Amino acid sequence: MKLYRDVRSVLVRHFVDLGRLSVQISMTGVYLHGSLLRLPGVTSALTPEVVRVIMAELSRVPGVQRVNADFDNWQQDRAMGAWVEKKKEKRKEKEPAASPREPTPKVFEVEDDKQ
Amino acid sequence: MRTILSVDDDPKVLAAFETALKQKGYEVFITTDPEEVARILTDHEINLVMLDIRMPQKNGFEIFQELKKRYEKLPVLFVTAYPKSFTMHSDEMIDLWKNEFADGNTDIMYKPFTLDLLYEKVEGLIGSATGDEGE
Repeated sequence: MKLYRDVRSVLVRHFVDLGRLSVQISMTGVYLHGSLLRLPGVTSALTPEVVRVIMAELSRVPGVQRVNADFDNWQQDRAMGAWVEKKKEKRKEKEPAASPREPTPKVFEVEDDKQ
Repeated sequence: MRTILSVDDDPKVLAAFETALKQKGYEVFITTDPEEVARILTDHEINLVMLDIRMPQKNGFEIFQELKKRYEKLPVLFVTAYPKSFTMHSDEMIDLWKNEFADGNTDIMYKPFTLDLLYEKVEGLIGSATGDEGE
């Protein structure tokens, strides 16, 4: 669990919204899936440089051999390696971070009728 | 066996959590009463607390701060339908985030979610039901 804790600590330090991300750790490394977003109300937006720093910090977590990211709002330029924000119209912000384990996930459908 | 306490004011949500988590082998306690949290934590060895945020008697952040005073490293999974609950709108909220979330023992999950994501978040905090960390 230490690896998971250390990964979450890095994300927390950068005010990343943990609820938008799915984190999986395997023998081959850390796998991030979902949207990489700052928490609501955080005034400084994520920039390509900040994303680069976050990924670099994650890769330096002891025990992490590799960081794989499949964000729906950021992508890495294959040639240059720089992070680029995807165009907003392609994003699905209202959906939860889906797990990549199952192509057609069963949605937990208990309705929250508060408000 | 890993043990989870789920706190939510909606019994339907609790029943669904209980069913889903028991299927994975976790022992599950549920309560709609935030005042019961302290007693359950005293009487049982709880490995993870799942907390709703918007509850009429006491909100999840209040419960979180209370239990962190006694169980500093206890993993907590916030479960909410309202992502804006985590808006950094005040110094108090920013301090809470920086001080209480920084150790990596807390995670967030927004409704609706997939069962796979539920299991992933829980396993990411406390490992499998048998205590196998899987690392």
